[in-house]
Amino acid sequence: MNVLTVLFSAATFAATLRMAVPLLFVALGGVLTKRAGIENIGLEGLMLIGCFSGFAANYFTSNWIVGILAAMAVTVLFALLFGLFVVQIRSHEIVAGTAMNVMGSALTTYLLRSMFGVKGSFTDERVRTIPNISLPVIKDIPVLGTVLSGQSILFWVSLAATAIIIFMLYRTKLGFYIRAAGENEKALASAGVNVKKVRYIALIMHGMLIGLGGIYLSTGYLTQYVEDMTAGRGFIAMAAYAFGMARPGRTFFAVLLFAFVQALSSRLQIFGVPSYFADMIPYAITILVLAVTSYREMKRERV
Amino acid sequence: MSENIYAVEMEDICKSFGAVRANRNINFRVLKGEIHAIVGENGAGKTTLMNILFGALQPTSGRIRINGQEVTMSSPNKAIRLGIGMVHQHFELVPSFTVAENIMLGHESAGKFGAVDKAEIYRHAKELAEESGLKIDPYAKVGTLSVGLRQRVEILKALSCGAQILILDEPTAVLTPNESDELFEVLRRMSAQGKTIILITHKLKEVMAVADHITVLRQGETCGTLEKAKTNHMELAALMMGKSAAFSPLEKTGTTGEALLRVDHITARDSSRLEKLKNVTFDVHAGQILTIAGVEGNGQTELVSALLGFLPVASGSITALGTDITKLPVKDRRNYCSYIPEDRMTTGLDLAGSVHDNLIAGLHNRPEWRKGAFIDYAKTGRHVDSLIDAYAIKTDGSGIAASSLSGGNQQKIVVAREMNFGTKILIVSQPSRGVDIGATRFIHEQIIRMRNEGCAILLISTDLDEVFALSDEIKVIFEGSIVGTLSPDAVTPQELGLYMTGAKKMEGVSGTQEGGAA
Repeated sequence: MNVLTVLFSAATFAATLRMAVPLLFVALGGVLTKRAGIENIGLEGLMLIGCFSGFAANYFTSNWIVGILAAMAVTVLFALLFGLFVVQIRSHEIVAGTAMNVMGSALTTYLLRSMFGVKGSFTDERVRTIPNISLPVIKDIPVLGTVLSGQSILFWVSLAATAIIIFMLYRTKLGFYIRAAGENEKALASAGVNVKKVRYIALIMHGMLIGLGGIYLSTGYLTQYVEDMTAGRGFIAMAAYAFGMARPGRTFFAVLLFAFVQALSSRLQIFGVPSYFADMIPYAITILVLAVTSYREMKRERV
Repeated sequence: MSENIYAVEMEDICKSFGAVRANRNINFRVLKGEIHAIVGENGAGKTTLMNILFGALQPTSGRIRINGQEVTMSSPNKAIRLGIGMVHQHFELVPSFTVAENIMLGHESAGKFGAVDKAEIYRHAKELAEESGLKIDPYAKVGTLSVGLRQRVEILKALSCGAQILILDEPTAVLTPNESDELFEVLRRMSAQGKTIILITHKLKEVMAVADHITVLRQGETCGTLEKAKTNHMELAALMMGKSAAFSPLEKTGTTGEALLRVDHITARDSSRLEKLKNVTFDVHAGQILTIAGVEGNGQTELVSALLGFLPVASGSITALGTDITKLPVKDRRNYCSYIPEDRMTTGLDLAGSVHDNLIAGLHNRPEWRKGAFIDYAKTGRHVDSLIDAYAIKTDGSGIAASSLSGGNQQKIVVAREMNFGTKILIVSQPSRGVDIGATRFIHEQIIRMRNEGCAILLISTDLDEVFALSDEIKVIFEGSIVGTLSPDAVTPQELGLYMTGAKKMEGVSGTQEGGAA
């Protein structure tokens, strides 16, 4: 079997899109706050909170829609808690973001054990998986069918979210205010707009998106909750929007790149590449890409 | 004058910040439709007064009338409603937005799906630009515009809010001469359209070029309002700078020796790549105090930074005691030059550090003050005690934090340290800034003592009295160039003022403008 045909097969591209969904939601969430002038390094923690809370709500109601809504609502609450620190009290973003990460991990692990009495991972038949969509005609087209058909509903939601955010950010008043809040809040304030309010609105949308990214992991990609199952995706999402310079379109492509590397690394294991080494690749690529980005930016600023 | 309409009347305005009285009983009136300049040195209270008019500060006492109506200027929003606009020195613009988007920020109208009505925004911006004669491309991204054009966007923003009275705070500080001329053109046109313009500045040439009336502030007080046609540079300079304070000449002894510090045709740019030093050349000799005199912001900061190594020079060389130090790092240059910074509290001191540590800072990495890898505390301790005695620094021991000392004693720490490095070159920036007469006197005595002992002293000063009290030779800096070399005995303060404000230049000086008066 040829290595390259396996690595660059339709199945790899389908896997890329599945890997991209959570990254895209979370990275878009990061784009919004970044553009509003808030750097949240707590994406990982928030994502985990969404992942767990949605899974739990799904378990208790056996309804995947309730699961999604719960994940979004709970993540928004925690995003607002973060906002309370950085917008209201103006405490240090990095400290508050780190707190979100630590709290997200500890809280979900604690709740998993106290609510369900299990350690490590948990699954139950009461939990409903978010359905996949089989595309009528397209599914029979060779490569395209494998790649696009059978993707989760949330995959299509994430594409819609990208388009909506591009429209919102560059066409609507709210988008203008969010960008102005990030670039020069004094300009916005002197135009009589409440900067804090704009930032809170951005944080609410931020929480909704990250909640979607989290719930996709536990009831979409898998139907199982695993402790710390975000496994660094929040940080990769950060890298993606940094690479995408916090522009939604560029971030979309950055996410595809990172997702592709993730899909590729899991395939490499088939060929005897040690799994820990393969797992490291996406992160190593992330560092490399960020180094290149900052170098380019540095050079540009010097001109 | 009774038939005249005043757009702005400020009566008996007082404003105190703690013990500092920034404005004292200021009376200030602006005719409708005129260009009125407020001039004065830094710290004269110009910006405070305008912030009061714009509602950003509340006066301690006094009255404000706009178009004859008495008002309480409670906030900038109130001022904007009353038709006052302010263009700050630091622009409040969003770089990635277009000109029109910046002008309309906060006032956009929304259409389908909440989308901003772009056509409407650009139509409005175009209209506004045409009406006011401020030519600008509404589609241009503000981040790509020159500073002059950005300022134009700020003015348009103010006009878009309906400003009839426009305050500009040091508008030419960031502009090139050509951009300044364009701005004046715009201001004249706006004034012809009936808008009232208030211009804060300390550049007399500009005032004479554009203003109808001029109000001079000095140390928080009004020194009078003059009609442009009935005054001249000299009168304004004299009013701005004030008369001689209590400086009595100190005795100078000894003779001038060889050149210890040689600055040869240095050119330097600031972070935004503006040329701030142009072909600056001078020598400072042993036993000489050379003063760089000039109005603030004409390259003095950059000159000091270039000499000490904070700012790389683009061309030219700096030689100290015969060694080329142009490329040396800051630490190595300090073996040649001592430096008493203008802002002694922040640049000169570590306020949280002890008196001892502050007094030995810089010595600590010289081998003779160390024992192997460690500082020789027995030796530095003796040195510190002797300095505390010699300079009469009032402190409760050398171990306490510098911040617990009085301001005057903190100053003495910096002076004591810098004057005892054993270097032959001393750079002193604005020694009398922010200190009372007694402390000024003390620092001046020390400078003269160093001079008499054969040190080469470079003094940076904006204060005419100080310049005359200390200098052996005066070099006037204007817009980054040395525009005159003068002897304190052969020049009058008025004449020096003309050089400092760019109204007069020496022969052979590379400059673009003709002298305005002679």
